[in-house]
Amino acid sequence: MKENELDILLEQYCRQEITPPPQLTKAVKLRLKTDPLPVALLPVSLFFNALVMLLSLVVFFDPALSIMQKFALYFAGSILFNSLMVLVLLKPERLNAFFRQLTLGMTENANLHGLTK
Amino acid sequence: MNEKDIIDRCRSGQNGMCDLLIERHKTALYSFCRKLEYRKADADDLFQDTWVKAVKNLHMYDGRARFLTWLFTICINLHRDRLRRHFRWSKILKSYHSGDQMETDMADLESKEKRPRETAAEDRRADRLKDALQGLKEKLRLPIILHYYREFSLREISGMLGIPAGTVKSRLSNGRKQLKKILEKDQ
Repeated sequence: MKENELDILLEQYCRQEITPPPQLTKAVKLRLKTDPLPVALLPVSLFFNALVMLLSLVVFFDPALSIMQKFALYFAGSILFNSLMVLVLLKPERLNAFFRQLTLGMTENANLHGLTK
Repeated sequence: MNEKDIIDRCRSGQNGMCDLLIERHKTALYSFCRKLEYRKADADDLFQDTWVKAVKNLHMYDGRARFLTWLFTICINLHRDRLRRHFRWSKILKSYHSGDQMETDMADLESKEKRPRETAAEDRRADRLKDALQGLKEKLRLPIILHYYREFSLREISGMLGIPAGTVKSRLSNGRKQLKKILEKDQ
């Protein structure tokens, strides 16, 4: 094989442009909209959960409540505060993108298992 | 709109600007990913991870090099991380398993290393070259791909790979020689 023959082969192979599939580009754009979500939420989430813990301490020492009621109050408070945090802090388009990605993932899983055919 | 404007607007969070940046460079980056990774699925992952990392760290792009050069540098670093992870896993498997189990697991891993053909319709010559390129060591393969793909200068390649320009030159020449040998042996 001559030297320039190898050069031509390499040029042909390496310069071949491949367009990414549209769903891949779409997935990248979606990831960019949803990726910063957990990092930004972490400190706020810690704060809200500490608040719930503090409130639950108050409830914990209340002799009028049974242990089950204490647990129920703790879980209800935790769910309420965390949902409130998500709703208040997240921009609507981020939330929208997050749920879109969630449903996209679920559809892909369903496709993999042949459930949507 | 020029590239600098798009990057500045993307940094300031203007709607749709990052999408525009992706649209401009998606083909160049994807083609590069497909050359780095033999398997399409790996190339798809690398493409996604590169964009996510690039957009998150866009404030670190100082405009001294071309945007594409900066993007390719991120892509190369992520590719190296993936290789390192893959190598670490294969080492853990080797030390953990023994006998038949190890053979099965290693066969799975090696199938990734050998990177089997995915599209039968590919041109035979291009396929042979692709296989031969995969046979090269990573340090010889990368300069060749960068040199022939976008005609990056020796200085640009040395910046991307973090090695001196003289080393890039010698690796290019050694890589070509080895590639020639592999291709001639196959004939």
